Amino acid sequence: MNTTARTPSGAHRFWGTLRAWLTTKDHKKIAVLYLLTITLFFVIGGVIATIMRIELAGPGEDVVSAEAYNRLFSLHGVIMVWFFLIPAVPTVLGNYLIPLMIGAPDLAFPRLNLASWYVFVAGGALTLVAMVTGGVDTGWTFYTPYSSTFSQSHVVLTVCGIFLAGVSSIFTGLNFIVTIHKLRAPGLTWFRLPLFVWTHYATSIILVLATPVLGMTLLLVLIEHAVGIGIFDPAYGGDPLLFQHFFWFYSHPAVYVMILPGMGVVSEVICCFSRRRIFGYRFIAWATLAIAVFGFLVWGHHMFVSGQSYLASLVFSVLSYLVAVPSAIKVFNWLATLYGGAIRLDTPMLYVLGFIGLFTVGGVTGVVLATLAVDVHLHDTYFVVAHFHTIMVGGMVMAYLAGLHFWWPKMTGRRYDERLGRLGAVLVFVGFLLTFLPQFILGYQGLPRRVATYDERFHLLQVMSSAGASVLALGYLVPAVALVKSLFGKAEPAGRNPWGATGLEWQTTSPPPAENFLAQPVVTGDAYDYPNAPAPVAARGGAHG
Amino acid sequence: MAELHADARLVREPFTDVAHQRAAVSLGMWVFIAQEVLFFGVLFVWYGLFRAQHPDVVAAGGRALDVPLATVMTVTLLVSSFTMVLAVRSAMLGARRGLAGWLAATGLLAVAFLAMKAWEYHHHIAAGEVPVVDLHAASSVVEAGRAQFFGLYFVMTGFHALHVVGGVLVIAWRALAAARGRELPRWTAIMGLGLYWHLVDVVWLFVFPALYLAGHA
Repeated sequence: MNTTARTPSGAHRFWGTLRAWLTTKDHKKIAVLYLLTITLFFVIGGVIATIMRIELAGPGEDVVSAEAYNRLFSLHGVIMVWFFLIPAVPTVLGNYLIPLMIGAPDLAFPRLNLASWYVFVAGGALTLVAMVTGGVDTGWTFYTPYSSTFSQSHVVLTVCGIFLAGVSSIFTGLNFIVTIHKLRAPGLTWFRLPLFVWTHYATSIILVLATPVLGMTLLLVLIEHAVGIGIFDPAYGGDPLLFQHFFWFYSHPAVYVMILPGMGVVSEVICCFSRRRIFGYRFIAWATLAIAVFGFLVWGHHMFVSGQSYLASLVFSVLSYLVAVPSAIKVFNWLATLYGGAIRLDTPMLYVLGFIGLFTVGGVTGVVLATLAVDVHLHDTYFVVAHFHTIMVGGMVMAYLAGLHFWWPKMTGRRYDERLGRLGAVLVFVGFLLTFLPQFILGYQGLPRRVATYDERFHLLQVMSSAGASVLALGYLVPAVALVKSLFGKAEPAGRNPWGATGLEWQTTSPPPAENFLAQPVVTGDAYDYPNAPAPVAARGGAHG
Repeated sequence: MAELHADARLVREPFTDVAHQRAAVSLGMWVFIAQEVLFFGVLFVWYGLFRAQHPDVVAAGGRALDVPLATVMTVTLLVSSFTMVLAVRSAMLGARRGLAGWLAATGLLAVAFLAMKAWEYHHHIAAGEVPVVDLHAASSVVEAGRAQFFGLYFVMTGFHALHVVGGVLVIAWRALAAARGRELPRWTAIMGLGLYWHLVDVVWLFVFPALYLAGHA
């Protein structure tokens, strides 16, 4: 950058580098910007969860007041959903990898990509300002008329923050759709695409078609809260249930935004570490699209006890069962891919095996909740909390960590400490089970969620859950240490393809040059030609024993 | 048709030729339009539900609106779509002056639309036809319902007007760039702007009958 003959001072160099990063249009650098931002939000959301688990270790209002607890669970939800779960895999791994995987020099609209990060940061900043000035107490769901009429907390500011995060999501989704349509390398037909790209395509469609509904709905809440138009208020002829329909029309598809990209990571990792072609490629690709489509038709299962018509509940219940079909197709295909494979238990694979088990538990308990009569009992209990966290923490976060470890050598050119990595994967898995299995039982016993206090008889299970949460927190520190450590000191170079993986991203250098490929790659076969793939390169220190 | 203006200097990273870039920008704009449809869709669902629950309130509200004025506004927007098509054509042909002129015409028509909208808002607010009611003073639910109708009116036309304002700003920026003639007319960008402008037009074509013509059987 600085080509003058004078040696620039340290501070000068620092500002120059910072400026280069903040104005970059390189999708790889933008992905790193997102990685830093999203990690920050994950830490904030995690700290809030820690305070909640400390409070819940005792049955009374021991550490925080009930009022403060309302704000804690609201902010935990808002930050984790909109500033971690939804953006994490697409904006970090998707941003970095989609152009590489399809043999393109960048995303279709590099400036839009950078803009999406700035909008995201602005949204996050507004939300953090709302947080430190008192927060919001409506839950992440902002149900009316509480949010629109009664809540005295920072609804307007938080809603603005989430709206901006939504705009950023739409930018990203739009960019991915156009990129995948228009910038595939010669020979890369749709059914030769890596499944990671397929899942991001489906995710992008959901982002583009669902997020504007959330955006407008939150603006209506904002207008009603600020100006006093009775959009969702029956006293003015409005309808509070309308809000719930709009909200879940977005928020149910949004949970598929959170999980689908993770499924893409799983498909890539599982082939690489069992050295096999993916079983049933086309079934997985179509199942991905099917989940995206069905996802738009099931929102009413969040409203079984809201007073919607019995017929509507029945239809939504049946449609919700249908989502289990493509989800199960994926799980069975992954298991079939493992069958007879030469399985290696490196860190990404450990996370992925954890994912498959926990996603199955989360999916099956989802079917339990989609059952009309059972849901009346389980609605708004810890069972729902446990189900949701099993898919999100057990599924999405595990997949994100799997992907981060899998592609870390590609992104940094360095290998991490494999033993530390594996330790992290095991700790996260054990910590997760300890945290959330008790919550399934608590919910079945009828403990309502979002309440700071509880009856003495729930104490043991709550203490178990809090103890598990501390293991989980420790578990998250270990991969952070392992990955960051790899950046300092004497690096072990990763080489182009340390895992012996297929896929265009492994054919270029680690990290790739600014233009990704020095010559335009041409694709001649399917994405998972593992029988003919190069052998993995063992890390120094004999971690592949 | 005359030869298209296909200067290699119009191509931006990561594209290598004009046609490829145009196809991508076009797809991107259509995806953007799809999300706009969902964005406005929320308002139309709100409208549909309210109309189904309170048909009389919506009919009475529609009769309180100024149909002749709205008709003129509709025609203004339709003509502006026509001038926008001519602007896109000029950009395609590399005709810088034509582009500047037709964009200016489009922008002026849009400003005329906004002026009429502002006058209409002023008129309704002066007449007390506003969405915010004091419930304690309201005599009946119908009064509250009437406020809700004007809530619909202001929110729906307001979001549409915001889109018009956004369009005017970009049109003005592009018209100035073309008039100054420092850069070549980037006609993929003008094409995208044109698509957006037609969307703004089409949204109005749904807002107009939904609100203004409701009470006129």
